[in-house]
Amino acid sequence: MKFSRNLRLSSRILMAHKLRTMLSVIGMAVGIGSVAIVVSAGQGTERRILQSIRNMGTNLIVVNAGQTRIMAGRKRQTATVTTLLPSDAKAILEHCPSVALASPVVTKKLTARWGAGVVPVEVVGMTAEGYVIRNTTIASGRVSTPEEGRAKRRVAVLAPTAASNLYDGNDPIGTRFRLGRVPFETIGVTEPKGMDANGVDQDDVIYVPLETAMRRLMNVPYVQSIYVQAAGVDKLDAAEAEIRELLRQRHRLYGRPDDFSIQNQATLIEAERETVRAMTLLVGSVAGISLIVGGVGILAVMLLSVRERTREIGLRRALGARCKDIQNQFLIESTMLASTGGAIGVIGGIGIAYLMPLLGYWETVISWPTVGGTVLFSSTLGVVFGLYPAMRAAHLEPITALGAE
Amino acid sequence: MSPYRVIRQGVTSLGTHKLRTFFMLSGTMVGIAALVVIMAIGEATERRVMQRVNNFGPTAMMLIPGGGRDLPPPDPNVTTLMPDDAEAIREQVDGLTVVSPMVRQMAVTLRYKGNQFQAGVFGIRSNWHAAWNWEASEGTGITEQDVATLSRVCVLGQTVKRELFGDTAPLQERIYVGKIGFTVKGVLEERGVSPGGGDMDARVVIPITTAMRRVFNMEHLSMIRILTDDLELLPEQTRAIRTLIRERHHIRRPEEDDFRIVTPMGIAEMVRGISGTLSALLTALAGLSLVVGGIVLMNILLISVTERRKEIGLRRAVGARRRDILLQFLTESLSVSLLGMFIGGLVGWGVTKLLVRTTSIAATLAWEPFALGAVCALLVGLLFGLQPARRAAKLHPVEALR
Repeated sequence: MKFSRNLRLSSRILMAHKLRTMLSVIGMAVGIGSVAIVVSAGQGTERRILQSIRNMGTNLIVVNAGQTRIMAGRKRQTATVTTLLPSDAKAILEHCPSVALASPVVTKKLTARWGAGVVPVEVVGMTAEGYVIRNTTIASGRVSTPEEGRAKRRVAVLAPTAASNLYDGNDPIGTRFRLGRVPFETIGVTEPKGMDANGVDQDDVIYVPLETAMRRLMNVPYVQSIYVQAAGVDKLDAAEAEIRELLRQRHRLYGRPDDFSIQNQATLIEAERETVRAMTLLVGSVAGISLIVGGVGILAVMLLSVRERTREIGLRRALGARCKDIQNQFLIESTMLASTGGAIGVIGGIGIAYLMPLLGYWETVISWPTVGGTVLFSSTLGVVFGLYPAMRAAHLEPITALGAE
Repeated sequence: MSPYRVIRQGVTSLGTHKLRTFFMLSGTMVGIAALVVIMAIGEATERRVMQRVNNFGPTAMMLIPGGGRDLPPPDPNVTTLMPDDAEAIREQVDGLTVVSPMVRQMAVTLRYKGNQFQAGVFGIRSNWHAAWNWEASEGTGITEQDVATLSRVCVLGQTVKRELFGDTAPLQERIYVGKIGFTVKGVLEERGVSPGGGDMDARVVIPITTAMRRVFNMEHLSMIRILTDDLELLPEQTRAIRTLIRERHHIRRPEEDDFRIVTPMGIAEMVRGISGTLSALLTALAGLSLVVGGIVLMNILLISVTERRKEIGLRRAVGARRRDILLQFLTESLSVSLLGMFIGGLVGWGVTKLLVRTTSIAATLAWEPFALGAVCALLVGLLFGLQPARRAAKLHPVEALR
């Protein structure tokens, strides 16, 4: 018998038992749909986190003063460490061959005032290289020059959130405002960067030259971090090792633990990706339980329908249908049930995955390979759960089958 | 026909159709098993949260320097929290039982003869013991007398005692905190893990005055521990303290606080983290598999009604009422889902035990998942059994017989 005739026959039989077909399809659809939602939510989270890590800079390595401990899910510095110096950054640039750029960084929360506006803001002191390392580009105005840094000039570059909070829509370039008690001139505004991996706005920042920040705002001889750009993606690990060795030597640490910690973008990305994937796998496999239950439902319905149709099978065998034809017919039936369920589930799942970011902030990614894979998977399930009933139908003796009830 | 006989009939018919019964069972069974395991894991997390909150103190607040939304540790660079602030809180906020200021320094080197250990050193007043409900198990705690006389006495945490003294008796021995000699006057009770996940027993407490003037040379406080009379009042008191300290520190809007107030609720939220959302999500997904199981049950029951038209017709013809048929099919669906619950509960219990034994996943079995499972199974049996049962009951005897 031809495949197309088998197909027609199967669909006619399925249509004849509308309620039964519908319920089997719903069971499958719920399972596939929930798996599809979980997978796209997982991929969405992964993309958001990776994007925010990449936004931090290209081939970035961050050296922090002091050992950071992970507490309550975030990295925190446990004490003030005064051993990381601007000269360390210079040494890193000179002596580490895998390093392309390095900029010392100090930060402090201060109050900015302009006109009637008073806003608390994060002040970041860094050199001109810092902008390059952190992928911070200028939207209008300019970046401070190394000469301005050396002269400890009071010039500032504002990130967009800080600019709009402080100036409330006025043009900031060329105006003077105060950071704490110190007057500054605004010379530029950067492009927006969005949120970082912890959901903190990276645009509520004011950049000033490193020397100005250290001398005039914080009055400290040490820095909190050094931003380093490795010479290439493949040099990240090498650069980290070189920096560690150099700093241990410069800080005379013989045998004592590091008084700094190094974050490498590649390991950060890998760690975050692992975490998200493990989470997706966990949630996805629980969602997969309904898929298996739905599949077992199809198995049961097929088995019952084989028994119900014993006479029909006997008749068809008597009229010349082969074992294979009978088997194919039942396999087609179960596959049709499963893939229709799968298709409906995927459509429903995509719909919900599409709506989720609109309603809340849980980002989802609908990737077409995943969608295709899910549909294919559901058809495979149909074959798997249909195989046993189909084989049972195919191996019925024609005579006994005809004689049944 | 007596309901008892009808019910017996339903159960017997399940016995004769073993394969069908098994399939009807499987959905409920898998769903309930998943529910039990996931809830057991969630319960373990919740217990850990409660334990940490109890360690923090369910009626306690902590005022720590440094702004932002993060929870402890305190920011050592913010020096605006003063002993006067603690006095002001004690005088001006109602319903507080204890206001206990303290200073601390992390990772101070302690020495006793050849042994060295790094631990946190806390300068405290005598009411610290009451504030943390943490007394000395050997010797005595810090007294107001010690605080008034700036005496060089210390009380050790269990970890410090173990690291410095091993098995020897520490009382009245002399240890060095940094470069200053102290006499050990007591040892604290064992306390365990802090809300942040650190070892609370790795610490030494000394009088606050000694700490501020003789050891650390600092004027500001590291934190103020506050106990309330009444948990109901806690949110209001938190607000009152916040307003008071903002005023005392001359902070005007829109400037941010230069301090934070940590509450038991905040601690619970921090420890729970994402696991609360996750376990709710997983429970919902397990519930979903139960719904799919219900759909499967209904489908099989519907098929079975069609298959047994003749039987139903015959029974109607010899006097069974619609109610009897309805009851019979409902009995089938209910007993199947309850049996599924029972087996599923057993499987879930087994899997949980296995998880605890073979992996590092913590899981605690309580009665709740089983109760919820029973309710779910009843609901599934009734909800998904009703439609097929009504369909069977509605069959016309004459037509069904044909």
